[in-house]
Amino acid sequence: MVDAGHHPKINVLTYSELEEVRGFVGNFKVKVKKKPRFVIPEKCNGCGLCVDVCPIEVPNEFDEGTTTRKAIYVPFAQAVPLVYTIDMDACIECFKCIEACGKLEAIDFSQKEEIIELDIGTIIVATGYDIYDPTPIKQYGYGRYPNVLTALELERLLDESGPTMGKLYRPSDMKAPGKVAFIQCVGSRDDIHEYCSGFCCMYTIKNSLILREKYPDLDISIYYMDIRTPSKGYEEFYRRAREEGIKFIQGKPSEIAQDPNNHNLFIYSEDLAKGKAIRDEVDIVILSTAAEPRPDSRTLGSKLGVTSGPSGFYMESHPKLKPIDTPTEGVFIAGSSQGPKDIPYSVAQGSAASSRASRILSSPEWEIEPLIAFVDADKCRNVRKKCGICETRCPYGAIIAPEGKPAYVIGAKCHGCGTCVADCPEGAITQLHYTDVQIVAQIHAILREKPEEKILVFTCHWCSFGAADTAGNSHLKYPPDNRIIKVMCSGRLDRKFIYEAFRIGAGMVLASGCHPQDCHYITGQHHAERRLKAVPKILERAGISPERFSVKWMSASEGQTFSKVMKESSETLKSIGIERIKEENEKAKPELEKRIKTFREDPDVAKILLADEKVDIEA
Amino acid sequence: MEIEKDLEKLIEEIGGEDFQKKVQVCYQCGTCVGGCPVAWVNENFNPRKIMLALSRGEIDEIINNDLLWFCCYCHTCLERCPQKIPVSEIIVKLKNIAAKVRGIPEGYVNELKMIAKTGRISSISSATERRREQLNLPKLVQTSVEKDIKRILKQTGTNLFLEKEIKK
Amino acid sequence: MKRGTPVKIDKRDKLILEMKTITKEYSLTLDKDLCCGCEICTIICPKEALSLIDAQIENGSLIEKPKIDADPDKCIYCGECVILCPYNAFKLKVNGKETIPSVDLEAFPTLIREIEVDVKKCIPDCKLACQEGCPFEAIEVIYEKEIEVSKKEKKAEGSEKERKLAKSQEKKKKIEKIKKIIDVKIDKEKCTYCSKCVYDCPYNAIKVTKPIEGKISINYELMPKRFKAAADVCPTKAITYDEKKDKLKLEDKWCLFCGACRLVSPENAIILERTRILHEYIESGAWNKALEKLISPEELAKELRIKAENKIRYWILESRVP
Repeated sequence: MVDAGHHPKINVLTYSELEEVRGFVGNFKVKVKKKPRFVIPEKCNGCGLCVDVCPIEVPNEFDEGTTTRKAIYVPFAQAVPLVYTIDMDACIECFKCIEACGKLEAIDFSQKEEIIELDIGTIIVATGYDIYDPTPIKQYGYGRYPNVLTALELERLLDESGPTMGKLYRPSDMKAPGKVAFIQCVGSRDDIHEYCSGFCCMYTIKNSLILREKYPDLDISIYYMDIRTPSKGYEEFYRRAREEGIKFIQGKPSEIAQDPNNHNLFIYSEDLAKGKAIRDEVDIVILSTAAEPRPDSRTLGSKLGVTSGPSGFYMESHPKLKPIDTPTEGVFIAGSSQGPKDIPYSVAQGSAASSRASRILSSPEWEIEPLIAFVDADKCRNVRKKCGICETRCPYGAIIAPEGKPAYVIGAKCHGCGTCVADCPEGAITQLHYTDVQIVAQIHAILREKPEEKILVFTCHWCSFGAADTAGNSHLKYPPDNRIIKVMCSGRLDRKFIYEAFRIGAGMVLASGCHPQDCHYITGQHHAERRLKAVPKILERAGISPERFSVKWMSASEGQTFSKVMKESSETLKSIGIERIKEENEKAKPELEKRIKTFREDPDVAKILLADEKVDIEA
Repeated sequence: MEIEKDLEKLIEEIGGEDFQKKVQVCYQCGTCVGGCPVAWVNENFNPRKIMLALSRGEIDEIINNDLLWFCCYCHTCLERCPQKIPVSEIIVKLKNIAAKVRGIPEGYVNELKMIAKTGRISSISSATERRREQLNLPKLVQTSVEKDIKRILKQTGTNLFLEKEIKK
Repeated sequence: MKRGTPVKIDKRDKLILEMKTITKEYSLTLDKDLCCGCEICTIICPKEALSLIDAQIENGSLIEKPKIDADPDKCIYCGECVILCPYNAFKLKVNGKETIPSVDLEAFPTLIREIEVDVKKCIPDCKLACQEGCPFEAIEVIYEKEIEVSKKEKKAEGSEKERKLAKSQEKKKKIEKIKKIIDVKIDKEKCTYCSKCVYDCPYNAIKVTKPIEGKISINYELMPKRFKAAADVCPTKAITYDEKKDKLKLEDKWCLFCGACRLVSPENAIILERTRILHEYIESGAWNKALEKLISPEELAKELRIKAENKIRYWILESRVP
């Protein structure tokens, strides 16, 4: 951190908040709010005379409230820059610090909040995590029993420059403890946080070894459910702890009780190895609390276009292939803001993120996939009346529909899912390489011969097409009556494609895509699901049995599912019978014709329809 | 074999499918045992082991064991289970199955009879009264068996069961 | 609740704010019995952590005095309320010891409050006027007794019970007489320096320096009839209520200018103006602010001017140029 502070090309903005991000990859315009420090960094030499005279003390956030700090402070001794800050929530404005600062005149109470604008190429989000406050777990008594500590509090107490100069005391009477117990998984792997916080096992083992070194006679036990030591050298470390005589007791304690007279604690637990309930009297209990996302991570994420998963941590673009990227191009995530992780992993991810970022920064131009959408300004109805549906559909904020003007696409932001194309009521948006003409042409080509014997399958590029691929690669067998049309995202699936397929006699239509929340385009699947929900009813009204249309969600690894679905569909098709299908299709034709009216209006698409009809008449 | 078929039917009747699914997520942490007041008195009673047997489908093993009947429904396990498995509620259902398959252990039947008779599990001895007096506690109130207890027994269907037992 | 999170403990007779870390503990205690609900602490609190709950008045008499409420999240344990409370209702403890860090570090002054008793002037026939008159029971007069026993004695007759009764009546006839006043002890914890004793003493033996000076008057036209809440709330009994005349009587000599009466009375019925606060010499922005809020910006300007003049004088005398 000190190195970063001194680097001529690194500009560290501390005590600042992100206000707004506009623009796109390589051309971000970022507004940053610099909070007033009330100390001029250039003049302050970090002598600390002001701290001695400050009369106000508040709990020290860095020390987890184990000690106090003054109203004028540096967060911690190694802080960069080493400049004091006045906490205005605590300051009584006695101005004693100004007196103490003397001729340096570094303190300036007239400072105001300042908003600076920056031109930014790429952004890396590494906002870290928060530690879970275990007070709601009433049975462990944190906050009520003074001798119940969190692991981070212990970490501060064990620090040689910490509040107790590296000595462990019982907070109730400041006596040295004789017996210490750690409790694992407090707030993780349960109904509070479903996930495993990952690094607690290791830091508990580390802290227990530090305690063993400092106090060889200390009785240390660790209550755990599973000890997880998967990385390099970790299991050896765990073995060392066992060699040092640290007791590992399997069993999650049910309750901690306190002796009100001497503040000793009783742990009620089961010793799984023994298979019976045990009670242990200890001096200090340390809770290994869960890691959780920072409370403001969602608001920050919404400013940056970074989504949060169900656990609240930032979502990567792809868990395996794009673990650093986010849906917004040019914004990367690193460290515990993406999920709980230990130091080596965080450092690796940070390095990865910076190299991903430099890839963009080092090139004068940045190529994007040519799959982007564009708006036909003449057709866009936003000119005539307020519409803006496309703007609400875009998960990347790439379409903007200004009032009274035609909508337009910011090409650099568009990822090419096609959701806006399918939902445009006027058909004004076109997605390159997946135009209506191209898809209709494919439908017609597939269904030219014996359409009633065929199953038309729409797949998305990433998941259900991947599933079909997996089925093929693993030589899974399924009937040969299906024909696949691939789009980038199920969000591209216009209902008209399905009506058109039935109009020209398709036996069955199957729409598929990723599972909810797995969408590579964040919300594409969600919009597809919503849109396709109404299709069976409309088909039924037109006279087509609803079982001839189905929607299936599957992931790229689910080759089995794909072949199973194909087999089932094939059987359904056979059970309905060709005769009935022909009959139904004939009956439904006029209704479906009405539904695809816009295709007829589009000269390019109409050309395909007419050409096909011509062939039919000739035949 | 016959018993097993009956069992499946019974489990279905009681809505067992549902609770068997819930138990499958149990990761055997032992929280239920650590807080269990019965496990402190009787080392052999272990709700975790009951859940383990259930998740492995060994229901007959559970219901053939009288230990099941030791649970006193304090619901501590249900409150503290990190996977929110309704341990005590599942034990209620298991007891219902056990009662139908094997009958209720004699001690509990006697308790029931006592309740039907006096409204209490055990009779109040003069010694208890004296102790209460020494501790400045108010005198125990006699519940009206005719009005309240009989009504409860009738509404829960326990009276039919009792009649059968008395006939035996 | 993370460690160090301040908490509020509301007891019947005490309001406690606590901030406990492992190495340091701060606690601010408000004694609800001593607090009369004047507005001084709520005015000067630099973080607006203290607020006032209005009094309950029914038919002109006080049902419940105004109360002080505290916000634990805002309080920073600066101790300004401890210093300025006229009734010593606040106590600040750091690690269990009573101190005020802002006074120790010269960030806030202490008030000049003095009481002196010249025991030489004390003459026993005063009937202990100061002790009897003190509204806060802060004065204890130590004196030598002389017991006169009245000589009329009834001979005990009859049964044993009657004899005992007679004996106990005998005791009552003993009359204490003050022979000499040795010392007048003043409990500085309880004393509010209201100077009532000064006027109670018939021999001018007591001298008091009041910390807050000011002016107070009652606008009787705005006072409703049978209104005695202002008298009920006054801890020094500077305002009293005359039942017969239905009139509030004001004695500003021992008024502390706390403003409790103004709070319970109708608007503008009591006109109160604080004019000066006697305090130790100090240079502190926090004090300037408190002074401005408690008295007036003009008074602050005056004080700053005096300070500046003093400084210049000092420089000239020392022939130092800044």
